[in-house]
Amino acid sequence: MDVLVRTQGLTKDFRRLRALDDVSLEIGPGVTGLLGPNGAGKTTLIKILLGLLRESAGTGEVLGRRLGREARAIRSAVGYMPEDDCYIDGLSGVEMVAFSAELAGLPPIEALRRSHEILDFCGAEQERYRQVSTYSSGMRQKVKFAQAIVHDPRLLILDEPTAGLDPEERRDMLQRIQILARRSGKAVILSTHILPDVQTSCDWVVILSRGRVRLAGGMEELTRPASPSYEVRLAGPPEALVERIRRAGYAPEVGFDGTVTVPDAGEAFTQGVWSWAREAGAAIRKLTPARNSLEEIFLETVRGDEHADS
Amino acid sequence: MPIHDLGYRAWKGRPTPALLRWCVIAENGIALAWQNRWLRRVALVAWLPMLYFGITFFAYEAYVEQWVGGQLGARGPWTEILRNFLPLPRDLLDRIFGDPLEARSRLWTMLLFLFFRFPQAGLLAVAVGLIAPPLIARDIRSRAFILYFSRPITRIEYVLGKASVIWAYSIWITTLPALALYVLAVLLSPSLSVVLDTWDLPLRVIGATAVLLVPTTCVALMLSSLVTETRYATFCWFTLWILGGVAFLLYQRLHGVFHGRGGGLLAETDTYWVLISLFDTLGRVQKWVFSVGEGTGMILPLFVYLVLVTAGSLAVVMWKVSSPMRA
Repeated sequence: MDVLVRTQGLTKDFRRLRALDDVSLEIGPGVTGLLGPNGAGKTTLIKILLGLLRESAGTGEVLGRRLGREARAIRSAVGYMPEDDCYIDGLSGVEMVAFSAELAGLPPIEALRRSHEILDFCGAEQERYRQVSTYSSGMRQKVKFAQAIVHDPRLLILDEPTAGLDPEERRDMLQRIQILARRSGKAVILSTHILPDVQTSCDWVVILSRGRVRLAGGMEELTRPASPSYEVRLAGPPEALVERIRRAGYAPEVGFDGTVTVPDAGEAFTQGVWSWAREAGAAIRKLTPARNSLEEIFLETVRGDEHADS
Repeated sequence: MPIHDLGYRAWKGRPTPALLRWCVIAENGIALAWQNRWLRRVALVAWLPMLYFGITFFAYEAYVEQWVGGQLGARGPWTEILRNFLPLPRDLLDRIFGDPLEARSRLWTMLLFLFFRFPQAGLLAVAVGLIAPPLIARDIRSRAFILYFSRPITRIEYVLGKASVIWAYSIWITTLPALALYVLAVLLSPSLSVVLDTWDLPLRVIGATAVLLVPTTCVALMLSSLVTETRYATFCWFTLWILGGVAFLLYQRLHGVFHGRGGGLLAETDTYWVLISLFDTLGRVQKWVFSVGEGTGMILPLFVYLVLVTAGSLAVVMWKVSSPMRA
């Protein structure tokens, strides 16, 4: 894996409070979800990566530049979308994005041209000419996202990018993130509390709790069950098929939405389930390998951490 | 790639030099400040005092020309009109009109100092009171620091950019009119040889500008960084100038009454009480820069005081600007 962010033993103390404790991790291309409960140290880690805070101990590098010493070069190549509702008072949306572009080094005319282009990409229509202070939270998110990507950074750090968005806007925002990661080759660090966003968008997950990395790995590996399992969705009621599967020696479970999960199901199950469905008069709409829920993984990790400390 | 493709496109341009990024903050601040209607009025009015002083220079130079030609006496009606027109103490006027040609350089210096010191410095205090309060307070209120500092911008560059906004308007209000007045005076003179006598005046104007701007800017930025509500910073700024100025003026009047000294624009008392008024403290140092009047004996303590005020204000600004990053 091509490592873009690497930290080794990163520690940050705020007087008596240890916000980060020996954080060692590697982040590569693709979308990486940075998860953790409130106060886990996510924002502190991001600020250290951007060179806004000085680490108490440990080393690290971002895009091949050393933390602390080459903060300016790091910030030139990184786009950051803060969680806070922040804006520059007195500027319209397009002016704010152009201003951010100029701060990042784009010449004035090019900054304005590029700002319009990026605001088009972000779906900002004529509201771009209104003052940012009058924007709705959704529109402010769009402008913050636009100012983060306007200078075409290699690495994007997005702190709660979907917070305050309605479902449609949230879907669009996640799509944009996917476009940037898949088509434009941007590395994205997505810090969020919204676990379904992470499950649908991220390739990698890092879970922080109490300043430590508790879990890090690929989404595929983490959500893969210990034994092969399958999920079956049916067009009609599942009872007949469930009974038939049970007779075949499996232990199916029916979810609240009617999804049938069959644990410990191997190749023989996928071959047999179609004939069992015909026998039971059921129509299979979808047959997919079952995944562990990220929510469960997250809760288990955080609870395990709390139990270990208590 | 088709021109109607509205998807994301990479940017492959040449970035601007990193050392000039503070100029972006300055330009943005200047444009935002210009939206203030009152500031636009002050910026316009700032050039009006030049008319009065320009006419004074013209009248004086015309007087000198006639005096050299022997057409005027020391106490003619033309002399009286000019004596009343010049805002200078009587004893000084006597010396000037004794030999107007000899006193030309001294008079030019005094007029430029008075122009710089009184109408322009007053207008500057008003302008800074309109420009400076929102500069940092607005960024604190809208939590904009993180937007600046997640870019390749240092805290020093941020402060430099903000200070440049004040400097740009201050130069427009004080320095440029003073330099323009000098050029006008030279052009109105019968002989360009006057340049040889007064070549140092533009340099003194620039020196006095630096004396005025550096502490003023730092104090104004400090007040702005201490509050989130702009109006509080504005109130503190004008209180600092008006209260200090009035208090010292009262002191001077009382001192004059008890010690029998006369007033006047250039007659000032050597006292550490001047430190209560930033306006008068700056005036004393500017007086020294222009080499006019009396009361410049205590220049070193005043300099030290201004340096301390500047350093203290700057330390507060840097601390406040860094505080959101420490959280």
